[in-house]
Amino acid sequence: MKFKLNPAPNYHCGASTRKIMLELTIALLVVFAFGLFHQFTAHGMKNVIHVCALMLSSVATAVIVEMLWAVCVVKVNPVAYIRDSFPWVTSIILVLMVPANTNIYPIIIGTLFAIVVAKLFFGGFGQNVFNPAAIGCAIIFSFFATSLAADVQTFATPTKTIAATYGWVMNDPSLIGEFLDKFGGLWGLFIGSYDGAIGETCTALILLCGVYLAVRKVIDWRVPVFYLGTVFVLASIIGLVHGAGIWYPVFHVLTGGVVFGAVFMATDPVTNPTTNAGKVIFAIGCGLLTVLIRVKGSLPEGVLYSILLMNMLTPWIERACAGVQYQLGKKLLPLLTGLVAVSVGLVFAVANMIAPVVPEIPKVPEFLNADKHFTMADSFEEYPAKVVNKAKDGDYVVYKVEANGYAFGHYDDPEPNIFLITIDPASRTVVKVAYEKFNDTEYVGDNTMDSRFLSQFEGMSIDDDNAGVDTVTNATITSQSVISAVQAAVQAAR
Amino acid sequence: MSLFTGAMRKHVDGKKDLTNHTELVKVQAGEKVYIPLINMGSTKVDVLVKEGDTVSVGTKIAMRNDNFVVPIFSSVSGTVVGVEKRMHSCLKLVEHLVIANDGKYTKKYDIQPLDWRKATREELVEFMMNSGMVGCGGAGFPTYIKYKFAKDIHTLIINDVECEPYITADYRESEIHMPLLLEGVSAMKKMCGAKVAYIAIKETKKELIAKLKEAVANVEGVEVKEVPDVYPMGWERTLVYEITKQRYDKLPSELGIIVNNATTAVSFAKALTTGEPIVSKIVTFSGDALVKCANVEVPVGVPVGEIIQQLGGYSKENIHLIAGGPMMGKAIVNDQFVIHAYTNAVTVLEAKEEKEIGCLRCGRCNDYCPAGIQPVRLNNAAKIKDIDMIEKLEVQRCIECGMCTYVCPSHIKVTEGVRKAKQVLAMAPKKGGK
Repeated sequence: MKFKLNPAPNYHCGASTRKIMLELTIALLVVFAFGLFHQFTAHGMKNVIHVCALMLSSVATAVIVEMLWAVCVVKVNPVAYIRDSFPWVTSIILVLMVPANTNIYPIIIGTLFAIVVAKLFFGGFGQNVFNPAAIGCAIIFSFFATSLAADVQTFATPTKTIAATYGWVMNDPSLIGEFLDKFGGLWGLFIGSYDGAIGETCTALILLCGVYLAVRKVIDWRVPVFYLGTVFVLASIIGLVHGAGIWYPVFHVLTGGVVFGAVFMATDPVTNPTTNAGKVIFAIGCGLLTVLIRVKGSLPEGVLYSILLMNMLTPWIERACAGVQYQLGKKLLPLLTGLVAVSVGLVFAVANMIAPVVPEIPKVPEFLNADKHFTMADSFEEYPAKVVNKAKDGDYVVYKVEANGYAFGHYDDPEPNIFLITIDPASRTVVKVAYEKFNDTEYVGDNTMDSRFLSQFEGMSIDDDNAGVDTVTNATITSQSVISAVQAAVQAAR
Repeated sequence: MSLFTGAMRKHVDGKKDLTNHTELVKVQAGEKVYIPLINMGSTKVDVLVKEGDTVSVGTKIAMRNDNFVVPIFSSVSGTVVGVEKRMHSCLKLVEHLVIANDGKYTKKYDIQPLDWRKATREELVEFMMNSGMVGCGGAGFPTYIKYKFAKDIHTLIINDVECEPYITADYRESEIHMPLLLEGVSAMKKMCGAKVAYIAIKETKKELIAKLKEAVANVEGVEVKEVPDVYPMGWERTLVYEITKQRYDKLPSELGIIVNNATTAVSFAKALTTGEPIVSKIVTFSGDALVKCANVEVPVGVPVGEIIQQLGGYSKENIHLIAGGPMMGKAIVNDQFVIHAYTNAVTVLEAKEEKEIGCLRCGRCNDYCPAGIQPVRLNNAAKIKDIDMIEKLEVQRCIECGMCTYVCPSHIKVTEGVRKAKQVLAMAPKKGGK
């Protein structure tokens, strides 16, 4: 009989860190599975194979490096070491954060930095100051930004598009519709049917995983709720300043991996404050930094850096939260009030520093402005047009005209633009100008093809040789192509 | 749970079915009993008898003589043999008075019964002091102190929660001695001037609740209060907060409340009606390393080893022999320690090695800490002897309930770390000194 000495208590609830990490791993793999599904449906098997290769190389790198570390530095059994160190979690998160067209070698280097520098150098599991996956991802994004592109197909992400094309805010309904339609609308963003980082797109699934993990106490609910809540409120302020509507804060929450970051990265307990009060401050800080970096920083996605910056502040938050927890509310009231005031103030200021993009409308000219217009005759000489078909449409006659445009002299094998010009022989006027096929460059002639440009010809007499139309900036050649087409039709009708 | 605090309590697998309905085993004392000369860590005890003296059951044999008065009584009749140092359930060597048991259990009580309905408050407090009433929940705090200084008390809470796993002694005591319990509660209620007395009991103890409710129907100002089956529901602070939703700084009397254990009330009623002090106890012997689990009625001063032999012995080779429940009770390295006036359980569990791994900083220990302090940070501060931080984190609020170790997924001995933090603070040079 042996009476063993052990300090009280001699009882345990049965929870273990291994079980916690297992549940987290499963949730991450569910998100990864959706990523594979999206790659398959959107781009095919090639992408799926590439993404699997990314995952395998990252996990293998992490596991091998930690085992080597165990043997060479800590001098313990490597298998036992990694069983309680969970290197694969970092790897999976890292791979889910990068786009599918990432090359294999950046992911390996990113993984090395994440595991060796961000984790092992700090003392291994539980000791790291920064979220290792976030460090790995930051390395990949800043060192390999231009060499990301592996030979697989992806499209621009929503945040990149809104940052590059629209300057982060817009309030014109046609622009909003056009922009959101690229990603299947807000619903498309919610269910993740668009290209982004491998695991960050399906908001619905990530939230579902988040709810499960919070109920299972693998993560603390306060962090995602306050993180996403802060992003929503602060984005609403920007939206209100520019009259952008409710879609705008919703868009902020649905894109750019903020939900993924809030559920899987900001909740990393090792780099969080340990108190609930501290977690709330941490999450609000992440939300503020995310919005500021997005709107005014040079990176479209602020999630990663907001988390790393708040990791840096964790020791300070911990110090502020020393004391009895149920008395912290009173103690932290000034700090929290200050944080909220500063957040709102900063975001309000930033909101006033950006301007919504307004759609470029072709200038509708005075019809016969002698200084600016090209006469029909001028255009016809330079861009010959010929009538290829003539058809009756009730009382009207429709002329099908081929007119050379921008493509000539710029592209190999140029093709003419094809227009349909409707003329009323009774009143001898142009009724309508439309195009059947437009072969100039996609962007150069866009404004010319706007109905507001084409409508200028309506009602024009076919007997007026000097009739002209103002041309559109950047589309001079294209607009002249239209004018010469009209000229050809008019001459045929005379 | 609120925004900044966790649950501050947690359901714990109570294993109460092991002993809840088993037969009450009566164990007689052996040839010798050993009465511990200690109360709440104080060994300043005067021995009132000498070697060779004849004593009876209820003879006052010693008295705590510092700022508290706590008489100690003989639990058997026989002859005083002497004083011997033995391992005590507080894990220290303590002097015990050794009495040779004549096996007759001749009763001769030194205190006279008292009719609490006629007695004044002062007489009752005096009686409570002289009858050696101590907190039977495990702490052994002299009960009369609470009543001596009682002022503006409106509520008496009788703690029949018994939140420690495995223990069912209070349950048994309340069940068997229900009339005494109600007598004791009424007397205590009169002593402190409370308008109402609540008997707090876990909502899962359906049978006892039903019986108690029936019994209190005829007693004025006494109610049964059902509380959730969580740990540490039986801690004064947690219990007072559950019932009043208010927190106090140092003592529940700040809120006009006195809390006493149910077994204390039963013992007090026994003393009032017959003059019998605490000479025997119902003690729960339970755990997965015992051949037979049971509640045992046994005289004070009987070594635990003797009782366990009568129950059939141990069933495992490597065991933790715990004086008390598994959460707060100390594991003792031999089974020669004795049943004390405030022992309520002995738990015997198979010893299992749990590998400790790195702290995840998950904060579960913070969330569940019933005192609302931050065990994880105290554990870390103790390691680097950060005295300032230990002070800021208010380590003295810790009652070592064991919750932090119990919930730690990394199997870190957090409670022990917090104990070390207390030691670091105690060893630290006083501010302004030197």
